[in-house]
Amino acid sequence: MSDNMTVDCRGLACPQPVLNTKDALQGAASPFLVIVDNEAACTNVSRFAESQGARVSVAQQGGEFHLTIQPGQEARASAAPPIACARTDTSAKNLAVYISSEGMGRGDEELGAILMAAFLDTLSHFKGQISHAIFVNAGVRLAVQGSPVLEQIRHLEQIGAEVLVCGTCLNHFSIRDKLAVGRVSNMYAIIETLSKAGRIIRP
Amino acid sequence: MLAELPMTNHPDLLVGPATADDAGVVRVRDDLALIQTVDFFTPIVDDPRTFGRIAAANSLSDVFAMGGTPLTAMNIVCFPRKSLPLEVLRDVLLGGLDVIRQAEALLVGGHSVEDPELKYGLSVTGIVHPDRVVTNARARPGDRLILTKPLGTGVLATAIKAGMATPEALAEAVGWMTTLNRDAAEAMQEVGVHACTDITGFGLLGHALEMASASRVIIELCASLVPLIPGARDLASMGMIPAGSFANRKFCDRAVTVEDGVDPLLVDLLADAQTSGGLLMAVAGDRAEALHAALERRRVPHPEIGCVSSARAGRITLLP
Repeated sequence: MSDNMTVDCRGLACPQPVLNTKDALQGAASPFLVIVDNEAACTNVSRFAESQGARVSVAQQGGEFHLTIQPGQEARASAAPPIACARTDTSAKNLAVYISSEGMGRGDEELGAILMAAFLDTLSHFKGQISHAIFVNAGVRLAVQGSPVLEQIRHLEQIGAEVLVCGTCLNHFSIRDKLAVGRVSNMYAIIETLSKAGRIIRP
Repeated sequence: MLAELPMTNHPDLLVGPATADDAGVVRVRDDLALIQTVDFFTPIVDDPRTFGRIAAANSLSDVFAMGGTPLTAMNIVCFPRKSLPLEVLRDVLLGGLDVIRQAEALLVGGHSVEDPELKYGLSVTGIVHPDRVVTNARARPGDRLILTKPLGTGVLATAIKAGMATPEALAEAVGWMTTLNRDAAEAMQEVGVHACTDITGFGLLGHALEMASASRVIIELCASLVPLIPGARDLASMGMIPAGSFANRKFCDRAVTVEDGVDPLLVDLLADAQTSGGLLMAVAGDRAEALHAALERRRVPHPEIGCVSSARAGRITLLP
């Protein structure tokens, strides 16, 4: 242990211990020690390290907590800046769903509605993987009062997806005040979301 | 500590310190009661005007939580005159005024002191009919619980300090913190509820526990139904929970039963100290649909997050 780096965070107010741990993790290859003097910091530092793919073991010594952080593969590879850190997933939450029509597929409207409902239903099995569900053009009709698939879209929110609904489109159809799920978005935010997604799927 | 002070008692004191409610209420006439509340704190965002708006919305909230309407407000300011330019104070006060005007209340003055740390908030007087005061002490078994704003502003404030909050998450948190609880309170008074409290520094768990204790009931909350600000959960899992929220959780520990299957991360989020949070309302089962409709009409979110299960010493059961 004496060869390894020690990050002493005693006396530091949150979120400094996490920030110091974050700096230490960047590019770290071997285990290092983080010392904190309160349980809150111990929990925060452990959670942060684990979210970056590291393994953590904690030893309590009197009023102090000694955390041994073993960097994982992702932590070594990642030199991403803070904002990307909060967004780039080390988990699999990288699917963005792009819905630009009211029905799924072409050829028969009734079938299209049935397929769209089934599509949204099936998405619920991808718990924790869907980052966003984006609705544009006639797709926004699915997100307003009276839509037959409101429950499915609400469920997507519950399993972790952000639901974005194009404001220009809502205005075009004069249904902005009937939005029943998700939040109003714009072209810039939609393009930004799509550009940062790992994969984009569309019905 | 408040318990050590001699008890305030008076026949016209409708709500005093005894029930740890949101504000004090005193009857001045058969048809008029005054609501008094005060709150101020240090900045949680960098922009002074936004900070002013947030602090004002936060201070006004208690009046709405009691079912009243704000009448007058006074500024409370602590300002480091020597280290910050006066323009910063001007912008903070302009932000406060933005929201006071939105609440249709009158800014009638204020007081400032020199202080190494900037702090801002309001002292607010509101009015309400004595028979329509909504306290946190009359929730009953069978009541359903509705929460009008998502949680996560404490975690987001920490993430902002750490530079780890995305611009969207920040914008969303600011949006919620500067939204007045007025529309929610109007819906509440239109339909009638048994109890209400606003969610602020003690987190949902802390304030729900206050309601459970004052009403002498057991409250059941479904952790997965509690709305969260997008991004808050991720940030919590990256260690962005402020020390105060941990303290809330520890304080609630002895009175909260956490059932199997509840993610410990969610428990911390439910204890997360909120700034300018939403209203938690306890509504009778047969009035719940009417309340949902009244909130929907005013575009206020209205997820149902639990219920009051039985009449017994104040406790919370947290279900998955």
